[in-house]
Amino acid sequence: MKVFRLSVMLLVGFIVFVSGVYGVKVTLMMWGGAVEENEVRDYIEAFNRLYPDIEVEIIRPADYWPKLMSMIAARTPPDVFYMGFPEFVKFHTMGALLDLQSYVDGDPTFNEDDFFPGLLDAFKDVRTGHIYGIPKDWSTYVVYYNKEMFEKAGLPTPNELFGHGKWTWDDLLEVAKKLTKDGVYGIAVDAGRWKIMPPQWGAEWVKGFDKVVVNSPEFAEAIQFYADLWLKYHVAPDMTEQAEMSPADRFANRKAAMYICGRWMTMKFKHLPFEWDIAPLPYHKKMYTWVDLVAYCVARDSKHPDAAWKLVRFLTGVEGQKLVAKAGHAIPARRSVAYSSAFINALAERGIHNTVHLIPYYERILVFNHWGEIWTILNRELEPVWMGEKTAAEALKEAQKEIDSLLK
Amino acid sequence: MKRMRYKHQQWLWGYLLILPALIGFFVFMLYPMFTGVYLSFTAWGGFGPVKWVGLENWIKLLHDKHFLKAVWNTVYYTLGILAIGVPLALLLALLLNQKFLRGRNFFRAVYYLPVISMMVAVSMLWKWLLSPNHGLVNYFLGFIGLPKINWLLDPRWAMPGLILMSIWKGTGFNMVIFLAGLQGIPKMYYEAAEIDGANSWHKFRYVTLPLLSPTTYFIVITTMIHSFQIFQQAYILTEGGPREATTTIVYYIYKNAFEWFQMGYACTQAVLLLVILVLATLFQQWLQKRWVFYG
Repeated sequence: MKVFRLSVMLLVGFIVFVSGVYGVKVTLMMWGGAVEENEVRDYIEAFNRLYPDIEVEIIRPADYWPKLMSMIAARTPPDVFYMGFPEFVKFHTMGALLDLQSYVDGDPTFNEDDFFPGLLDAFKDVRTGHIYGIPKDWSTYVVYYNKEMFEKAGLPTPNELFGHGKWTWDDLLEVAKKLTKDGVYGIAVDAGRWKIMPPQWGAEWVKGFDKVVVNSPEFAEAIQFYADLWLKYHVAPDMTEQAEMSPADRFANRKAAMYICGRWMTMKFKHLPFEWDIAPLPYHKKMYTWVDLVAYCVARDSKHPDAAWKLVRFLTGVEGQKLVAKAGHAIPARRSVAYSSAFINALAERGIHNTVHLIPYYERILVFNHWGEIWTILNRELEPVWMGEKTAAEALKEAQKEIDSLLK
Repeated sequence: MKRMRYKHQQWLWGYLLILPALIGFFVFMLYPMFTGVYLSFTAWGGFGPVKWVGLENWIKLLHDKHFLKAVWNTVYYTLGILAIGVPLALLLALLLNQKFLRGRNFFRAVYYLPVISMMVAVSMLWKWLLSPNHGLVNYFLGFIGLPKINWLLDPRWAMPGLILMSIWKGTGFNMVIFLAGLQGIPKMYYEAAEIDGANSWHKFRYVTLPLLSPTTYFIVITTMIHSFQIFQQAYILTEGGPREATTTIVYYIYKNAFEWFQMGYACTQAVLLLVILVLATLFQQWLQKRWVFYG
């Protein structure tokens, strides 16, 4: 009897041990808030219905990049992780990422053409053209507007203005002037999001990996117009007010009629107690929107590259992208999904336009060497411009000097 | 012969007993330290291949005006804390050491509370306190007839703002140590001074201060080292801005290492910080002969 019991226990132990060894566990590291983590949990649940033998552990650290770097340096990287397009260059050149080309080639359902043009290119090796990351989703920039305020003021909405071809930055300024009264601003913007401006004024400022030109008159004009929204025209909160109440909160608290940001705010604004909508960005010399783009990458040192690829393939495949569409805070990377009812109706209950027809107005995604340092330089040198202590032209001349010494 | 073996055994036992701590010291302190020194001579992104570049980082560092600014900012901060925070801690300790004060323990706890609060929470609180239009600090300044200050957006005031917050946060700790020091001074010295006709100021100047000087010395050294490593406040409250006004050495190291992927160059800065700290401590040690009194 005793022997029998012992052998049963041993057998059970053996089974547990074996399944522990053969059941694969992959880690997925992400950034973002708790809401986004819940969304990702839903994706994983759907993934596990297809692949019950692959366990996925989600890591969401407080400090994403330091954590990722130290994990890679210690040779225990997460198998799959988020990768921004600017950071990709550095992580790829340092050899941290797995070449996914053979996996892509071996997958008949991949269909490279289904991705929006340019998105996959951002994660390719410049020389070999091999793919090192698959876009997960992306965001354009839009104008959020308070429908009720426009109605009360008897003004046509930004979408109507856009429809009539009267949605230039000057048109926006006129509307904003009329809406600025009684402690409410016509528009709220973050000074730090100036990146949406220069190409609108025709400044092609990234000329290559090692050439960044910011001291052009077009660049300066665009920046000056942005600063003048609060410095000269007083239709937007100035720097002190931006610090005291974030522009997003100002819009949410009905203290601003319009707000410019990426599409990802839609889900946060979903429950606001007033009617709002999104419209395309205004244009000056041309239509343009900045793009924020994130991909899934697999670590070169991953111990389960095959399982990791299965996860990436699912998340970026048509099924996974439909879940992204339903979550609604970013645009799916696959055209077939972005233009389907799955995405267009994501916010139907609020009557929110998804303005998918405007998606094509983005441009080649800007990447250059010393990305982080150059952003630091630009933001630092532009600070006096936002405070009204320097003109944009003066500040950008200084910035150019520093950039040149970095990229020489 | 037997005696030798006994001695030998003792030696072995001693090391065996401190072995866990010794291993920890070698693995987690000495090894990373030397690795850091080695990496300061290399170009390394944080992972991937390490490339030896000799003195390149060091030459670059000596010409890096942003690093120089960071050094100045850190010195400014440290001097601010030493000049205001330490005397304030002493003053509080003296007050809370008075027998006649009612509710002493309550006040001691209140002044110690910020020390155990989380820096993130404290920073968020101070972001609001220092807010130009709705902040309590400016409200108080207006109350006594002073103009409003745009604390965290004005390059001239951002660092004083940071110092103000750090004093609020850290003074309680030094206060407790001063209190312990004060209570270690034997009563007989005061009694002897009284018999000689000393007033309160005399007693403070000629009894309390000299007998407290070892405590003061300890506090000055630890506060200095601590202040030189200021990071969290700059990271959370101001992100090093406005215009680098609060970019401290460790914040700049963080930017280089984890945002710009220049771990080698960041190590160079860290090694230089170590050198600065050692020199400053040696200077203090030399200076202490002139003012620290071991009774």
